[in-house]
Amino acid sequence: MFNYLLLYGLKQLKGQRSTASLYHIISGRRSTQTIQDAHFYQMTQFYSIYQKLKRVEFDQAISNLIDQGDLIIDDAGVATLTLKGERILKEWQQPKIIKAFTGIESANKAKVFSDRLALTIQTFANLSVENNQFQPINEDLAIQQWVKSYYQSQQDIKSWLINTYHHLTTFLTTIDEKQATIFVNRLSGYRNYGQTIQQLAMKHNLSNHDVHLILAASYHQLIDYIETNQIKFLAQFIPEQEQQTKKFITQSAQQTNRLLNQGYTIDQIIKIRRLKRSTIEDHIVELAYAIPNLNLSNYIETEDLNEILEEIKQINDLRLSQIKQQVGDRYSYFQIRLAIAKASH
Amino acid sequence: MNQLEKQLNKYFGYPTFRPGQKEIIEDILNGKHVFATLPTGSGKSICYQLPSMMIDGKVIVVTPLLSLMEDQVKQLKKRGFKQAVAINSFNTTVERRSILNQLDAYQLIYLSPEMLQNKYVITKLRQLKISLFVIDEAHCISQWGHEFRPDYLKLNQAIEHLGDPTILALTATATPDVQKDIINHFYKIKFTKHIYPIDRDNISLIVEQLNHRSEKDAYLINLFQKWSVPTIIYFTSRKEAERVATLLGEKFSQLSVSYYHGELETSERLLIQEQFMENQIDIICATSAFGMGIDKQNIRLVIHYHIPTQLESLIQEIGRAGRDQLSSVSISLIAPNDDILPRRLIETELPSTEMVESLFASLLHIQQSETTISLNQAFIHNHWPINEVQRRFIQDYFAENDLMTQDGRIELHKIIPQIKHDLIKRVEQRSRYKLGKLDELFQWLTAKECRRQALYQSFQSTVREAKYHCCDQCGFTLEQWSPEYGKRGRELKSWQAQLQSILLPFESGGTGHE
Repeated sequence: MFNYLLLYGLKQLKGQRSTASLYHIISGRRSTQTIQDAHFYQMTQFYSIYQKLKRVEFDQAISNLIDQGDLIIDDAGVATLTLKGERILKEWQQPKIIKAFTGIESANKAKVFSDRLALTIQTFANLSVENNQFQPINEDLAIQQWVKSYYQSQQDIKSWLINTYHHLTTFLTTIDEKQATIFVNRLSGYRNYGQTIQQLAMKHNLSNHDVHLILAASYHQLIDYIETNQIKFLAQFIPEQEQQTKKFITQSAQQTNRLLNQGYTIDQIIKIRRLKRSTIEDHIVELAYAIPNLNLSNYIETEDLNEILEEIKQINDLRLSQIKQQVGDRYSYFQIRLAIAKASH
Repeated sequence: MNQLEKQLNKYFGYPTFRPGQKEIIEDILNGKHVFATLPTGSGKSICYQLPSMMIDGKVIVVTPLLSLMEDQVKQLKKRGFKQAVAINSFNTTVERRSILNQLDAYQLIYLSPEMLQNKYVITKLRQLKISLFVIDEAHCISQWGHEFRPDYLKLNQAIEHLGDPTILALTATATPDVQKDIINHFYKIKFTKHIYPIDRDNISLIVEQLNHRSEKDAYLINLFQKWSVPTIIYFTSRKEAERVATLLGEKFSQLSVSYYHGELETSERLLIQEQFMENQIDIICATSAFGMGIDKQNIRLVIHYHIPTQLESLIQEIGRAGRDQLSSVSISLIAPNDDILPRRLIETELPSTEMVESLFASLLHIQQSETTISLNQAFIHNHWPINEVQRRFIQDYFAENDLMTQDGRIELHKIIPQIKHDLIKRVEQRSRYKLGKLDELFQWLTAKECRRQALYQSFQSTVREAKYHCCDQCGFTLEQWSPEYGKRGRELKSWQAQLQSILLPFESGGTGHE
């Protein structure tokens, strides 16, 4: 599954970006460039689905694909799929599980959700048999604190467990059998600790990466299930959306946004923040991606914007240099980038 | 039940003390300074944990084992004792500040020795009433101990700063010479000695001389065909631990085998530890990172696939078997050239002559333009690849010889060529010493006499008779062994059944355990 994801992602890059861009997308690098790439190459759903992925592991996987003859790579680090690679990708019935990822909208959502749910299950299972001596599987203080206050809001943990049991059973029957098994194996309860990624990989004959993605996908699907069926008591585990949008903008861009909202011009912000023009422009582009209805009229006329959008559609290439060539020198790079950001919505 | 036992039962759920614990605690509570040697796995930590719950002032525990202190704090919290805290380099600056600012909320404070060099920490500690000061792993004070820590030499000063509290010096592995060294070091303190033998009479010893790695593998496969008891197999190399875990996992589908080493993520390590505690794992293939603070009672078998670098480590690792005092076995597997790995390990623990030469060359160069430099910067300047242990060795040497400023920068005007020669001499001395320790271990592995006598005789005057079986030299073979252990519950097959057991443990047939 991980290998497919890589092949799929590299194909999406159309030979226009190096493999590193794909790494940044799936590991969720918070930079304007990466967010832009995710939109450009229609991989927003994969953004930040594997934050723990190390660069060396990614590079290792890429070089394995090269060794297997699925890929070739040029000096600039740009990968092209071989015929074999193309065939593998084609034969691969993109399973539901890949579609489960909703990436950019829920970058961190699934992780926080799964951490909260897993620790709550472990805690409640133990308390239900009057055992308060157990090792919490999650040592993140924020998560522990959340579970603690959630516990205090609960009247009857046994009925909570029974309810959750029924919902999870129903949900798990909608997904693949192996996926369901991995999901359950990972959970911890009373005197029963969940399996590690490595253990699951060994047991199911998968790579660690596959196990990670399968679990992540399951939690994305579970969130979807909870939202579709409006299961209110479990919906509480899903972190607030608003918080997420904020998270998606880099700190520095948020600061620029505050100043813009207070009515400062770009030139004034350059002075106040002692930053280069290009940096502030980067921030505005980033904001344009994150905030669909951001007002761009200070930077580009609506008519001009529409003209560039039209050109982009025509040439079907999202590389800045290509678009610039097409629309000529009438527009700055900044304006074109704003248009591309707009086009992503 | 007397008062102390009541407290023990209340806080730890044990009805009685293990040998030594009660005597030590009574002396401490009477304000006597205590020097104690207790074997690994005998519950050393109870000797200060229990008093910390009973006495008025604070208890400070100095230990160089960071993971041990983290583990102990966790264990105590698990038992419901929340007033324990660990201060060490694992804390972020913010965390440390916040702990130090509410230090009074804690009863039991674990510290790494270098934290006691920190003025701010000392200032904060001085505001508290310290009733007991515990020096864990006290053998680290001795230059001839196997784990000499120069930081420990400064404990005298810290103790004075803290208003001379009651002292408890504890160790599990100290030869009589090392014991003397420790007591001499704290010449101002009059210790009451509690020396308990460290030999473990419930552990039978086997050394198996084989010809090749493949024979070790075959030996293990043969072994686990007959025995499936809770087992730790120790490795020096992470790769080998993974390889053998995979091999055994494939051979024995009915056994649960996992590996454990320092490269795993903390959260995953934690799961594996707990699975082992709950008998969800039968065999664990681990590096020496595993075991510290693991309080599993029924480990029946400790195997050394690779041997460590000294007898003391071996004794400690073997001692994780049979804490419940039931019959357990230690097996060391050796093959020709097995000394290569530990020799290399010793080498990487000490800076090489080239390293020192090159470092001093750059220090003498920097001397012309600067007055001080931090050690890290000096190393960056130096471009010589150096690992953490080696860096620490040099840093300790500099600190010990008063070449550092208060905030840990090298005072460059003090750097003269003589220091370099002395440092190189020190390295050579340590290296000889460590290689000597390794030889000692090999002598034990190849000796023809009783293994129990040979293993423990340098630590104590008499070695007890074995409670069950002695060793291979005295005629013990595995065929004579009938271990007792709790069987692992059958594994639930379907995810439906598993989910039910996890979420609904209060319904009958809840857990998958017996």
